[in-house]
Amino acid sequence: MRRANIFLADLLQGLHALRVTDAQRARDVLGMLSLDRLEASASTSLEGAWSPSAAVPRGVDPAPAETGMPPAPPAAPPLPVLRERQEATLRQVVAPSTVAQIPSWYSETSAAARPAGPTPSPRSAQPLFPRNQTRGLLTAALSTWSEDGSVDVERVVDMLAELQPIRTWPQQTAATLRRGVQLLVDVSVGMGPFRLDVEHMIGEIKGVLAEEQISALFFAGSPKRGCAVQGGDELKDWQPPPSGTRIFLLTDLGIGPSPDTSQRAGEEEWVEFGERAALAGCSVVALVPYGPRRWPRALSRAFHIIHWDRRTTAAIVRRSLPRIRRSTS
Amino acid sequence: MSTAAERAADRIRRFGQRRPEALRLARYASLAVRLDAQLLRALRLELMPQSDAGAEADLWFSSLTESMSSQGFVFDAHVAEQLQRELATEFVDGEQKALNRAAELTALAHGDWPVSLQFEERITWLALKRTEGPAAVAARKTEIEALLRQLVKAMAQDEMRGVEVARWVQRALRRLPQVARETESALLLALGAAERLGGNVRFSEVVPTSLPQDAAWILPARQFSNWTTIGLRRYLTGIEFLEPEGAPMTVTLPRTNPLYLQMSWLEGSKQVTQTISVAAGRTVAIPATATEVRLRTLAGEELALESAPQPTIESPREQVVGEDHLQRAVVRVEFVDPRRARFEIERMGFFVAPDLVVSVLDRGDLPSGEDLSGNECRIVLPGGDRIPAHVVTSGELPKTVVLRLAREVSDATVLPRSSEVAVSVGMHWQTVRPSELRSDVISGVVLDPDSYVADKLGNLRKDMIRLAVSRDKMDLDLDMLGAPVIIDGNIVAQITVCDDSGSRECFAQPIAAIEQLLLLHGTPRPTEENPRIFISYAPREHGGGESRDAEVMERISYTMQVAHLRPLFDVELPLRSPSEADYVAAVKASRGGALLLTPLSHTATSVVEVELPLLAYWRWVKPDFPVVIFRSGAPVSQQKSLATAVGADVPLPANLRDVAIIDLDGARDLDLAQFVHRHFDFIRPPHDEASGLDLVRKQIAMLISGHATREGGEMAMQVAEEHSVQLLMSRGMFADIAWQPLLAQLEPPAAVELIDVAAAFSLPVETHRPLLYAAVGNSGARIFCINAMSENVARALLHRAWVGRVVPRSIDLTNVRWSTPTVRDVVTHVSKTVAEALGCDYQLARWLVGNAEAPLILIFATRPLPSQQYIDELLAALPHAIMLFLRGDDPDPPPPPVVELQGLKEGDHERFVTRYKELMAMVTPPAESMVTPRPSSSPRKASRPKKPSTTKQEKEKYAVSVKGGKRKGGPAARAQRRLTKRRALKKK
Repeated sequence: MRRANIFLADLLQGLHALRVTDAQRARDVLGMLSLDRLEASASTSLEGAWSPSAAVPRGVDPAPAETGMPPAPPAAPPLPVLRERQEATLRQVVAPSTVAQIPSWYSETSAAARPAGPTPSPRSAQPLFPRNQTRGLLTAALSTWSEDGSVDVERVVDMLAELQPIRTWPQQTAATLRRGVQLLVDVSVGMGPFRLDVEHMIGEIKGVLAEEQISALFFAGSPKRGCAVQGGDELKDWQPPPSGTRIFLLTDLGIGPSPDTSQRAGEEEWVEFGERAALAGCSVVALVPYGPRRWPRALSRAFHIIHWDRRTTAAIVRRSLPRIRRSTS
Repeated sequence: MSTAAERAADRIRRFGQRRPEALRLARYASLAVRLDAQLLRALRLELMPQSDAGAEADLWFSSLTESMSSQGFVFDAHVAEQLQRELATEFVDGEQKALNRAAELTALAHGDWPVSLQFEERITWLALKRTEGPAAVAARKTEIEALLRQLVKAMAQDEMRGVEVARWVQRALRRLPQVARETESALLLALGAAERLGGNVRFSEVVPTSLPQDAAWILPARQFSNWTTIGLRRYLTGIEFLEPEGAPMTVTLPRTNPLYLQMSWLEGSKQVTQTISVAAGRTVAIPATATEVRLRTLAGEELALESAPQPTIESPREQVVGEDHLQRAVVRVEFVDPRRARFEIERMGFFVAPDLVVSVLDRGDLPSGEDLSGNECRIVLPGGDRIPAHVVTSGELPKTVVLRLAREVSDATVLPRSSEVAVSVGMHWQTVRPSELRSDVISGVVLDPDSYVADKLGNLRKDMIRLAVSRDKMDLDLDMLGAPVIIDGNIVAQITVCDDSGSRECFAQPIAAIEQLLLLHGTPRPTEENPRIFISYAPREHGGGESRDAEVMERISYTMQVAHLRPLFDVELPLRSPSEADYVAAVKASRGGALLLTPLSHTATSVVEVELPLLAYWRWVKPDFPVVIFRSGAPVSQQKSLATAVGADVPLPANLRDVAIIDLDGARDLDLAQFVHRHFDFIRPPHDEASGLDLVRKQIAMLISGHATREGGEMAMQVAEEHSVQLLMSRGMFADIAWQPLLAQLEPPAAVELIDVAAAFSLPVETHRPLLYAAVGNSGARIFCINAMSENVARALLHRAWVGRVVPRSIDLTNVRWSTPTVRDVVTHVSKTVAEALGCDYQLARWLVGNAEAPLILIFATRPLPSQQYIDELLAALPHAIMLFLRGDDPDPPPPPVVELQGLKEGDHERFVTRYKELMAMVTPPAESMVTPRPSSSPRKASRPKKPSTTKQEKEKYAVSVKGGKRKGGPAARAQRRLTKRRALKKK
């Protein structure tokens, strides 16, 4: 148990009040105040000079008053030094009131209303992505590339010119959402401040993709530690989706200063997750509320990270799509 | 850190250094009772659109919070108060735009919250608003009062609702701003809450000017149920409250916590009313001229305090302030800069009475014509405690101000001056005469710095300073005897001769700086500076791990503060990018060091390359400079062998690898406290010669009594008891004591140690005096010479100057010819010695020798002395080393700035050396001394470590040895090692 602080002032007051003049009594006082260190060196510390080095070098003293920003706190009123004791008497002028008298303002004041219920929790916060960009942004982030487009006439002409047989019609590459998404949602303590954003984002994804195209799983720390379906308590090993499916992470990648360090996954764990996803032929996109300066470098290489912030636009995400396409192929 | 508010400010500052954006957000959010994601987002997007959401999470999980959940968090009360103050100072175009916008957003986000919480946030905003003009201030107070009255009515109206409001009061009262706490409604709410919740409400210390006419109506039973009595005693200038037993008067009042009492009196025709919280021991000032003093309780009872006329007892303040009464000290004084309303002006102050301090302000400190009278300030005691004070007298420019402290400081003493002040004719002097209501500053000029005068007894007193008093000042009188004379900001003399015959002249006895030091020897001073400990942590920007480390830092910080140490983490250095010089200064100002090793720490290479060598160098130069390692967050595999792990993680200098380590993850708080206690407890209070002498006295007594292990040990005890200690300390090796039996009875190491101690006291007392200045860091001189050649004389002088302390490490350069080595050779050699000791490269060692301000000692045995140019170059090349030249019988005067120690008289040197040899010869009993203890001229040479010179050429140039420190136990241990070595040789 931590003991209450005993300050020099207490010691001074004690010595002063007890009129301590000899070293032995001073030692007794020190001992009673549990100032063991002073007590141990009482015989020497009682006879000493204040070191010239007590003048602290500029800029080193941590005293808050010298740090600049905080203005001086209101000082306690000085205690007066009383002089010349006098004889005096107390004479009752007014007796204590026996009947309570309600003040005049009481009738003119309305009582503070009683709350209808417990203090409500916020249900929504301003989203981290601009509203008018969210859909486009998600479309860009969740799309994968496949050769589903119209006939690639140029390639057909080339093939014919080379007298190659046309067994299948070559088609142009196009972004598509048809492969759906595996949505992995981090519910660890570190994501607490973004709980409303996560809920909002899941709703937005449901607006972009059909219900059956979304496979939502929830995890704490990293998916490798096990995932649960919505409303389920049972943790199951994470399995990568079919090849080519986008894996979309809503997480802080363990960057946040969460107090629960056991939930925080390290870089290695995330890198292993990225490698496993890549082996399964899936590309990973992570939506992270922390800025790029704080992204671990190893993770930036392992999978694609999108800054969950107002400054991120669909165009920015789209510009990084070719890299995803390459990694998918 | 002495108060919760200061600790909170410190926490905020440290958090701001790591997360400046999150701190900004914290300020905007500080108006809210509770923070949630919605409000944080709104504040961030509106007021800091350039930041990202990381700032929200950084704040959410920061150390500024009191509690935190998935729904939101609450700031620590002191943190919130500090943040609010900072927010209130944020002005744009003369308006508090940020404050007002933050308040709007907070109100918008919390529009569906209970009104009590909404009122709380609105009251906080109102309190922080800067309003100009009395009407606006009154309107603001009225609005706050009106809001609180709604809650008062809600409490009184309905029983259930009353309890609900009481619970709110229990939490909110301590968080409301002062302007709200001092309203009548706040007092009523507190009373009502205390009664409804069983007295479990701590009222505010801030109270309204006047108590309500009747307060019982707010109580459920409409009357007070608990009462108490307090005693009081009347003084001419106030009232003292005391325990009722034995008190001359008592008052019965409702039992509240704290107890409230309204006081009123008439000053002329003006009525003064104030409400106070009273407790036994508290005093309240009332002007001596006050009449019609009335007291009123919360129950409405009113009492008249009527004084009986009587002769007054003479106030101690009016007695002679002579030498016996004068208690003095030099303290730091912090003044409020009137332009910025902050404690920003720092000056030195001098105690002239237990509750009076004199200080001097410069012209530039104040706007012209500024009168400081009544202004608040505070003095800072060496332990960091601050005592509020106010200015009672403000003199001329340069402004001499007299401060009255809130309480007396009974143990004040004088700080030795850094240098002598040369007093000359025409210099301005100042002093102060304390009086009952005001303390007068008296000033004048020096008429004659070297005068003589006959005192009242007819004795002629020489070397006095003759002083004249300015015409416009009051006359001198006998009260001035003993008053300090301040010249150039230093107390240089005391008034010792003056009279009350209207003379405008007096005489003062000069006080030399060294005398001031010695004056302190008999002065009780149970205070000491809390030593500063520099802690190397050196993290780099990382992905949030600092938060965890912050907890570790907090833990170390708290433990150190409990142990009366002042930790200084490198990350706390005030500059954003501290330079090498900042680290040098920080380590120099510290009395010990520590490393905090975590997975995050010591990732900043540039910092580590400066900090760790500095700590290592100081530890090498000053063996009493403690360094420890705190370790946290190491993987389990590494914890098995911490020392190995430390070596692997952080490139520690050689002499930091064996320091004590504690693993914080496994250590309980008690273990940590004991660890800190064990390794830093021996740091002694700031040194002075007397305390050092006392330590040596004990050391001798222990050597004689504690080590008398052989037959006849009782005799040694007897010798100790027969005041041989004093004899030994006055005559040293020449003390007339029975050396032979004494040394024969001691273990050899103890005997050698005793001889070394005695040697330190064998030279005339004046000889070492200039070195004493250097030892306490109180002198600009750092190059000395003496007419001796023996290295043992040098050792004795150093031991005497550093009496009671460990002498810093020294490097001997003997038989040096001044054509060679050159200064460069000397520096190279010193640097190589350091490099070898620390295991670092030469360049780093060179940097340390040139920059780290550790007092490395160089002993040169040579004659004649080198040229002035050589010495100047030496001083420039080794800017922090202390040098002692043994120059033998060289007749030429030493070139400046070499300080010549008082020369040994003819034959003294030989006597010293011969006596030293004689005593050392007595150490080893004949039966065991198969090998002569001292085959060479100096007994120490046998124990010298291997010469650190690395090249043959260098070896030929000079012989070098390194003394002190690392090898345990000093002379005694060396003698033990020597004996062991000889025995081994004998066996061979």
